[in-house]
This record gives sequence, structure tokens and C-alpha cells, in this order.
Amino acid sequence: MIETVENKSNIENEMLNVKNFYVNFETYDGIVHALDDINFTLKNNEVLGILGESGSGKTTLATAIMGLLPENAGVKGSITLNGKTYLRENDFNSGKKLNRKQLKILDQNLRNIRWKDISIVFQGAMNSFNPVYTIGKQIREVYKLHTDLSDNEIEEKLLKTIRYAGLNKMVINAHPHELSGGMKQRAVIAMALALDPEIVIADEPTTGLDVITQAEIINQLKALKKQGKIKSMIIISHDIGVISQLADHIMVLYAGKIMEYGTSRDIYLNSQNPYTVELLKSYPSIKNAKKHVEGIPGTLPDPINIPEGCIFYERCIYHDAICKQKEPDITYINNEHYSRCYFASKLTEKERVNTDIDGEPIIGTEKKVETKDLVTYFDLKKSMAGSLFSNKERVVRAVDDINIEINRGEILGIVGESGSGKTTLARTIIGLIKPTAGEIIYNFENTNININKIKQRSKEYSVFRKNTQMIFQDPYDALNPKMTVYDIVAEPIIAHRSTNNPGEMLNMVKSTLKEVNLTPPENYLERFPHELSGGERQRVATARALVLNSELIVADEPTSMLDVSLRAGFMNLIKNLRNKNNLSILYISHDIASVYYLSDKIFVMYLGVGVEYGDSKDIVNNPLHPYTKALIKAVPSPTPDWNPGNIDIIGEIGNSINVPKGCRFYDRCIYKQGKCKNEKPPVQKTGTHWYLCHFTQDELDNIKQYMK
Amino acid sequence: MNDINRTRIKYVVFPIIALLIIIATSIPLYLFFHFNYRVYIPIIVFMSGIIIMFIGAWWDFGAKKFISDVFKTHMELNEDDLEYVYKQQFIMMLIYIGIGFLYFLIAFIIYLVLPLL
Ligand SMILES: Nc1ncnc2c1ncn2[C@@H]1O[C@H](COP(=O)(O)OP(=O)(O)O)[C@@H](O)[C@H]1O
Ligand code: SF4
Ligand code: SF4
Ligand SMILES: [Mg+2]
Repeated sequence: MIETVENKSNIENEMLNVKNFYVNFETYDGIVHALDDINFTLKNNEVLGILGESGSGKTTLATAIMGLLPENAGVKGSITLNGKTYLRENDFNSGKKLNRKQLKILDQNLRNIRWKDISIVFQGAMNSFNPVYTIGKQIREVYKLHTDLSDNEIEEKLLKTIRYAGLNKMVINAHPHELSGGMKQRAVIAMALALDPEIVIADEPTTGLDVITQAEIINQLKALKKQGKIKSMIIISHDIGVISQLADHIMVLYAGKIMEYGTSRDIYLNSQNPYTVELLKSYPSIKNAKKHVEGIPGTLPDPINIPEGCIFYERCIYHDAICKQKEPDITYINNEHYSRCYFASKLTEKERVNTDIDGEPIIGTEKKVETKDLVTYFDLKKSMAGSLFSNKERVVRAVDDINIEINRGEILGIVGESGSGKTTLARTIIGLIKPTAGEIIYNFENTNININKIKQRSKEYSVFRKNTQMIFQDPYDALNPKMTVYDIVAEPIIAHRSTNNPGEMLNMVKSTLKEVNLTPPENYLERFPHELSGGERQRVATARALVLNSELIVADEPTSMLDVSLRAGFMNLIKNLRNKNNLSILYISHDIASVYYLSDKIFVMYLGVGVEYGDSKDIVNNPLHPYTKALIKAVPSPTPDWNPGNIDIIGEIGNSINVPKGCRFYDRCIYKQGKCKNEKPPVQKTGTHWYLCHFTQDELDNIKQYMK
Repeated sequence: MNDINRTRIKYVVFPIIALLIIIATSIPLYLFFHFNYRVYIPIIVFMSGIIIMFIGAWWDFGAKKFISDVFKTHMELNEDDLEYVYKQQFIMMLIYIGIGFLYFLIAFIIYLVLPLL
């Protein structure tokens, strides 16, 4: 009796029900199994988080729920909304037919934003605005597409929507390029909310945004949820931090299957699936001491030939003989928590075998590189097209008066939002860009080299080139697709004429490949970049940077294209290489947690200037500059209890053309006072830790007290 | 002379030099091989003029790259800036079309005036 009552209330409460759901894609290579046996319900007012690496089927699930699967998809099972089944076996609709004008105005990602009672914020939709039309026109078009509202009603809705998203009315008449990434993403969210949908799906809503913007978007979503503007929501991400902020329940997807499902608390604090456990372990965090993180070696199984037994078998350290033979069933840990594993609820803490980092770093006192008042400006008016097309000054102060030094065996991390000049600094240091002013002094092979004083053909120049190598952000771009791994790694050897002996060259390449854990190297020599996974590609790029035993390595966002499970492995590799070879490394990233994990010292950049520098522990635990404070506060912590509250920063990063005369941070600083506007702030120093501001910590605290 | 005109002249240098090269390189042919200068060169110059006009009409004079550089460096680009870019593009197009006409003129001169000499 009691049971039936409970059942009934459950069904009434139930918004969306996905049942025994399968999706296959027919391709030339065979049938891709994208989703396999998906079952879940989304209740009224619930936020479900879907967590998984790229390729795990997250987007496919979202598109299926929207009823927008492509033509080559095959479906089994059903999806029910409010008791009405709208998607079942081979009965689905691939979107609404539009006329040519509508096709022209709206990009596909925006076109299908609303479908029935569900709306979606597609992955990367913020970059899908048509640059030619104003934001307002594109949002109006969505209304016209999906409703019969009159123009006046549409205008009213439009205004309301813009307000929900926390945007100014001006946005309506703005063109997409006039808005920052964060504003565009807000506009897309506004579109998704426009028609009061029952369910909002957000696919990677913060990927590609800076930490501070990300935190603001998360806050906005939370607020909308609280106000009831968002009723039920599905939030999709590969980022545990983002999911933990929003979701009540979490579903962990792996290779198209649900590995674990439960409340956020259960998943974070009591996860019972090896994949989830390992995934959580691979996140560096800034909250506790530098805890060792460990990636998950290997890759997703081939979606065309899904192996027998457990899909995670190849990468699982808990596995047993039975796992290979038969696929495990779902085991319930409690009413709302289940895991697809033979050993669910019996998992004992296990460590991967190869976790140890070799040796301790020996940080020397000799400086490998030092910059003195380094300045790099870009003057767009200098080029022919630039002087024809610019009607005003177009000088970018990308790097403005930077003084850094890296000792032997030291890792210096540089953090800052995109546009802060990190990459320009890196490229200037390795000599890809000529500095506008200032000096860079290297010490390689016991000779001092001043970049301004050497000639292109001198011996010093070749010593400098040989000892500065770079690992780029995107391993796809950096490796020539027509060259084999051997050619790629051997190229610097040939360029620097290190050896002419083919046998020796082969040995150098092989031992470097071994060093970056591409073993056995023979298996890789003849392969082409496209035959490698993302992680392997980044390792090849690293091998290429290491092959000459260079003394300084510059790594510019080397992990940003890697999947979460591979990042930790790559960072450990860098750590190991440093410890073994006493390398000096300049490590650049916008991800503070990873910089903290790797670096000995951290340098914080904002609009071309360094605003704070110190030991990485000091920077993270005791940030002094208002910008660093905000930056650290904005990093989401992967626990369900995290609440950043106010991030204490205004707006988004500006540009470095019309920089404020006084403090660079003036426009965004909540502590700013009269003199900040026109007077350059001094360096405040305690030991080696310094920051750039007019005020001491006590004074800043007082200002904040006063504001309250 | 102001900056913008100096830049425009830089853009104009290429088609003018091309014209001089066409005229000059064929002179030895004319002198030594009884090349029928009066018939062929005007045709070649005339065709080249059409090509220059097409270049003026289709080439963006580096505007696309300029705009992408502006975005890459996070600089603002507002309606007025875009308008300015379009205006400059339009002026350059007119200049190139003008140069096309200069080609035509030269072609006619060679065709009509040369036999009189
Ligand atoms: N239209 C399609 N045709 C063929 N295969 C596809 C198609 N869309 C997605 N897939 C495949 O389905 C799997 C899941 O992809 P996706 O849903 O995009 O994952 P995620 O969003 O988690 O990164 C991948 O193997 C992908 O290559
Ligand atoms: S069933 Fe076996 S292989 Fe699969 S996750 Fe569990 S322990 Fe690992
Ligand atoms: S100098 Fe003024 S504006 Fe700059 S960070 Fe300090 S308080 Fe803020
Ligand atoms: Mg996706």
C-alpha cells in the first residue's frame, strides 16, 4: 500500500524519463556505439550533472533528448517527457525545417535551441552567433521560429530575457564581436530561458571561458535556479568542479554507458566505481596541500569494437579475471546510488604502481634565464594593411616591463586570464618574437648570452636556440601531419647538426621517446600524428623539445587540449623530467590548480604586467594582490559544499590598448581609490613574495570593511 | 604627405611596376626578333588591365587579416572601425580600377601613337 503511494508521487514528480536507451551511428568504418543502456529520470526541480571525458557520449545524449539526432543515427528505447513518449525506436525527427532566410541568420547551434519543452545551450554555442547580425535580431529570430508571438510581445520577452541573464539592454543592438566571451555565453543562456522551458540542458557551458568568467556564469545559473527561472536542468561537463557546483545528482558516463549514478554527495564522497574514483583522483586541487595526482593511462575503447566484459577493464587497476569475461551488472549501493562494477561497495583504496616521482628536485642558485624590464608591443599600424585600415592607434602592450628569473631546475608557473600576455612573454623568451625593449639574459653551457647583443650566425645564437625549446598548446597544430614520429623527434637533431651518424640519431630519438613513456619506442617510430591519441601526441611534442637536452623548456598551456584523465599523467611526466634532468621550465596556464601542482614559483600576469610573484604555496594560500585573490577564489573546488560567494572583481579582462594610466587593474578592482587611477602602484614586498599595489594588506582589509 | 596616402602609394606600386615590366621586357624582343610590338603589346596590356581591375574588385587588401589580428590582440572593433575598413577597401578598389584604365590608355597609346613615330 505504502509502496504504491510512493510510486505515484514519484511519477507525478517525474519530468523526463529515459528508458533502455541506445544510440548507434552508422559510419563507413562500421557501427559506432555511442550510447548503451541508458536509464534515468529527471525529477521536477532537479539538476542532473553528466560527467565524462570527450567521446563518452554526453553530447549525443543531449542531442537525443532534444530529438535532434542526425540521420545516420539508430535508436532503441524511449524518452518520455511528462508521461508522453516523444522519442522511440526509429521514430525521431532531425530538427525543424527552416526557410532560407532563417537558415542564413541563425547558426545551427542556435537554431535548435528550443524544442518542445526542452531547451539547450549547445557546446560552443557562444561562438555560433552570426557576426553580421545584432544579438537582438538573432534572439528575436528564435522567438519567431518557435512561437506565434506578435512583434511587441517578442520585444517584451527579449527585454526580460536579457535582464535574467544579467546583461545590459545595450547588448540587444550589439554585434557579437562587441561582446566578451562571458557576455555571449550569458546571451545564449538567455535565449535558452526565453520561453520558460521545463528543462534546460547546458552542454559544457563554461568550457573555453576564463576561471573568473566561469565562476560568474556558474553563479548566474545558480541564481536562476533559485529564482525558479530554471526548473529542471541537465548540466554536462568534463569538469568535476563545474558539475559539483550545480548538480543534485550526477551520472558518470564512460564509453556510452552509465558507470555510476548517485547524489552529488555519494559520488564525491563515497564513489563506488573505479572509473569515478580514478577520475576524482586525477584533479589537482588548490584546496589542500600539493596532493599527488594520478591520471588514468590508456584511452576510451574503440566505439566500433566495444570489447567483451567490462568497458573499463583495460584501464582499471581493480580488475579481476571475471571483469574480462562478462559485463558487470548494476549494483545498488542505496536507493539512489548505483555502480556498474563487480566490486562496487567492496572497493578498497588502491594506488597505481607507477605513481612515484623520481627523486627530489635540486633547485640551483644560478639563473638560467632572466628578463630585465622586458617589453613587447605589437603595433598593428606597422604592417601595410594595418596602416591602411586602422583609423586610430593600435598598439598592444602585450608584455610591459616584465622582470622574471628562472633558476636551474626550477619550474616557474605563469597564470593569468587569456589576453594577459602569457603567450607573448613565452614567445619572446624563446626568441620567436623580438622584444621591443629590455633585455633577456640566458646562461647556457656556462656562457652568458644576451639576446640583444648576439648575431644570428654566431656560436652563442646556436647555443641559445639549442637550449630553448617550446611545447605548444595544441599538439595537433604543432606536429607536421606528414612526418613520422621519428622524423618529428629527429628534426631538431638535424637542424642543430648534433650528429650526422644515423645510428646515433636513432638512439637519441629512442631514448627520448622512452623518457616520455612512449614505450617500446619501436612501436611509435613509424607512426604518423593522426595515428596517435591526444596524450601520445603531446608526449611526442615533448620528446621533440627534449631530444637536444635543452636547459630551458617553455610549455604554453600544454594540457589544455588533453582530457582530464590524461592531464595528471602529463604533469607528472613534466615533474619527473625536471627532477631527473635538472631542467628549468616556464610553465604557462590559465588553470591555477595545475600551475600550483607543478610550479615552485608563480608569477601572476594581468594586462601585460606582473602583479604578484612568490612561492607557489604562498600565492595560493595567501594571495596578496586583489586580482590574485579573485583568481584563487574563482577556482571551483570539486566538493559539493563549495560556495565562492562574491568573487570580488568587476567585469572582464579589458584590452591592453587603452590601459589605465595608474594601476592596470583599476577598472576591475573593488578596492580602488583615487590615487590608483593616475599613479603607478609600487611593489610591496615581504621576503621574495611581492605584489603591485598602492596598499598594504591591512589597508586593503580596512577598505573592504569600510565598503561593507 | 600623410600616412594614409603613403600607404596607398605602396599598394599602387605593384600594378605600376607590373605595367612597366610588361612594356620593357618586350622591347628586346621587338628590336631583335621582329616581334610585332604594335599588335601584341596593346593586347597584353589591355588584358592585364582587366586583371588588375578584377584584383581590385576581389582582393580585400589584407582587411581580413587585419581584422583577425585585431581580434587576436583583444582590441575593440566597433561599427565605426568597420565602416572605416569598408571605406578604405572601397577607395583602394576605385584606385585599382583607375589603374586598370591607365593600362587601357597605355595600350591605346601604343597601338595608335607608336606607328606615327
Ligand atoms: N554524427 C555522428 N556520426 C558518427 N559518430 C558520431 C556522431 N556523433 C557522435 N559520434 C560518436 O559518438 C561517440 C560519443 O560522442 P559525443 O556524444 O560527442 O561525446 P562527448 O559529448 O561526451 O564528447 C564518439 O565516439 C563520437 O565519435
Ligand atoms: S568490473 Fe572490474 S574492470 Fe570493470 S570497473 Fe569494476 S573492477 Fe574495474
Ligand atoms: S593599486 Fe589600487 S586599483 Fe590597483 S590593485 Fe591596488 S587597490 Fe586596486
Ligand atoms: Mg561534447
